[in-house]
Amino acid sequence: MLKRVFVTASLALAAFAPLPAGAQSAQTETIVVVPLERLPVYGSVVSAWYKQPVYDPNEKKLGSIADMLFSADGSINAVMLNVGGFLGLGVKHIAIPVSAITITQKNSKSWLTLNTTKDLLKKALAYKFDKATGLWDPI
Amino acid sequence: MNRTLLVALSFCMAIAVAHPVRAETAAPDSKVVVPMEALPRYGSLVSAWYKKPVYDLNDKKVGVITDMLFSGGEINAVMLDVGGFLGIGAKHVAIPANDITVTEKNNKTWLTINTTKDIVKKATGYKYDAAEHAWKVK
Repeated sequence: MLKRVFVTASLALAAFAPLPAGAQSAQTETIVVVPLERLPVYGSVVSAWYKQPVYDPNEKKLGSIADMLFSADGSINAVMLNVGGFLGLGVKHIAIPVSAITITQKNSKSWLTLNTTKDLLKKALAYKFDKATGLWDPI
Repeated sequence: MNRTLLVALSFCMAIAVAHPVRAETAAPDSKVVVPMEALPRYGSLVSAWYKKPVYDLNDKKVGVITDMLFSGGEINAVMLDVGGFLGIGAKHVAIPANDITVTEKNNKTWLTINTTKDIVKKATGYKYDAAEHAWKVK
């Protein structure tokens, strides 16, 4: 019932929205954005990942997520994990494929796990954020 | 030159690592993850978006990104708190991720959206449900 109302509303909006955009656009590519009336299907939210801790399968904290890299089409393809504390160093950022991190729940909170070892993290290539370019570079 | 070295290194690592992975896996799903030796191509960073302001085309602040929704590793919507812009406490509206443009201004990331006060005022508001870890229609 509710869902149907939303679909109708978003259809109505969709029919409605192109008009002001068309009227306003002197340039061809300025389309006025209408917020979504329904959310797309999603599995997770960045707030459950960004700056959150990641544990190994034995519940030992490996590090926390310092950043997430995504491409122009919106696909997240890597996660920067600071494993400095785990290795007993100040800071060490390593890159992990996003699909390698599993999200579950523990005590009603998100719980991120990564199956890796101290040895692998120690050997892994470290990255550093370059403020001037806004990019992560290998150290 | 540097890049060639990296690629070569990552191949070596891949070969070196393949064996311990196979040796360790008792359960079929527990694959030991090796960190990446080269970064994939990427256009932007969550750190440049999350909790950052978004402006309209006249440099007026429309709101702040409070969350990003993703599915199968793909960001498909951004939650924008437009409360300040509307002069109310908080109102979260959902924006398709590709409707936000990222550029630079004074050496910093500058996010823009082409929308109007009227449109965000009429838009559906969402609220985060902490128990369900999901955004719900308010």
